[in-house]
Amino acid sequence: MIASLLGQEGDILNSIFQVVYLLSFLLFMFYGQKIQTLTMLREVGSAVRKLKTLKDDSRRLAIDTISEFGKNSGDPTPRIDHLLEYFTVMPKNLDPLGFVPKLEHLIDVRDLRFKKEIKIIAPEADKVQSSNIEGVLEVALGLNGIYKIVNHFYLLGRKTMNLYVIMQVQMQLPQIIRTAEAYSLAGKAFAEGQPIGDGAGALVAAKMMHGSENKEVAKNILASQIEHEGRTVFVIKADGPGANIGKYGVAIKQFIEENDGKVAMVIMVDAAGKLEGEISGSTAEGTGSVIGGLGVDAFIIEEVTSKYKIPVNGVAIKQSMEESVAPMTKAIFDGVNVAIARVKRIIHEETKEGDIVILVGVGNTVGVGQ
Amino acid sequence: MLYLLELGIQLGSGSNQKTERSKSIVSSILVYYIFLAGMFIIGIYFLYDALQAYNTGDVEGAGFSAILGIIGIGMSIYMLTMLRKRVSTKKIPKKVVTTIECTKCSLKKIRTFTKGDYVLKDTENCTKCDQPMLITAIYTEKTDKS
Repeated sequence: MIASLLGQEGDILNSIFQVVYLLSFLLFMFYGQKIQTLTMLREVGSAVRKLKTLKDDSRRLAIDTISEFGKNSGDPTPRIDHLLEYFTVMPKNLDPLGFVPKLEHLIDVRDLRFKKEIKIIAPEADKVQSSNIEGVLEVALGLNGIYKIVNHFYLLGRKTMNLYVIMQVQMQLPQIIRTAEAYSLAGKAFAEGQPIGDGAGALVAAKMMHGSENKEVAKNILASQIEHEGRTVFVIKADGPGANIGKYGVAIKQFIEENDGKVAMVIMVDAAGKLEGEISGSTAEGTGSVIGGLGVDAFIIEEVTSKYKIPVNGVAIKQSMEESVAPMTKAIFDGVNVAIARVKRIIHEETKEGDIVILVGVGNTVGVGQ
Repeated sequence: MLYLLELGIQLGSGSNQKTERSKSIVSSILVYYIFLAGMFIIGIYFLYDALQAYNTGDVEGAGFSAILGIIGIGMSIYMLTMLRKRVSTKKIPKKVVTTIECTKCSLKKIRTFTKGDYVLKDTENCTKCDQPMLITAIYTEKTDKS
């Protein structure tokens, strides 16, 4: 039948198809952008649904974790929901003079507020558990923020059908989803007290200081004095195994000033972002304060070390952004041992017997004791 | 069609205005699918036409039709792939393990992580020399299920 159609009326059919075909090209020409917008909207819509699932899961995890330690203080859900909407207004930097102390104050206030809230909703939690709950809440807060921003662009894109509105978020989707998935894993790690990739630096310090006496020298910061090849090494890390970060800057400044600036070297070990193609857990050495965060600690360290002309060396344990918040992998764990060897070599080669060295293991110390 | 339905369900929640817009988006996507199917069929037709023209000795006409046919099929498949592209929701299951070592005889054990474990924690006694063992590592392992 088709053959007869094509045989007898082939020319007419051919002409019709050619016209339809040309019209389809015209349709693409004029409606191509709308088609592209619809395609992108669908993709973002799918991501929004996934982000909502991750956000809801992390909220549920926060509620379950907190309920475990607050059986007698009622349902924590409304308070958790309030905390998930918590915001922080950064200090104005029109006049940058004095910006860092303002930022430090702001971080302290926020931290204190979270700790107070946790004390109210989970009164039975001990110090370690409170820190871990804080980590779980931070993850839930982060995922809630990611979901809200992506959803905002999705709904705005649907409302305006503007390609450029939806394109802004569509282009970043793979990275956003990877980050959200890593956050989701981090939530579970905090709830169960498992070490995360970011704790690699803390683990280096923990292994170095293990077996020696330690004391709290600054907020959530512990320090041990050890002897290594005739050098006095002050090893600093956040108080583990709770999910703490601590004030490294204050601790380093205090040590340097206590020793009248007679410190031969500061060595900082931290997890550092790797580029695609670099191997997870590989280590690298460099100069400067290897510390992330908002920059308050780095500022203090730079101030005090430049004042006393103390060299600052860094050892970075490479990992992707996702790995840094997800439970620690074997590759990163192996990288920790390599980093320890590098630290020992730096101390051996760059300092002499009788020198004072400060070794700082930077990072979240969840699941890492000392 | 399943994801068209999903899209409809997802977009369908909310106010009447939202529902109307959702319907509009769903119908736009439906039209788009029909359009792609049409384009694919026409592409097939042009390939057939190219073959016919080649058999009759019209090489130029055959080449023209073949180009149109390939473009049509290629474009419809490409656009369909673009529309069907979805964000992966597959999670890679990971197993967290705890390594315990005896500080005296170096006996090493690897077991599944349990809540309360942390690196450098003193744990159960060694089965060999009855000395306390130390948790030396906690890390994730990818499971075969992934």
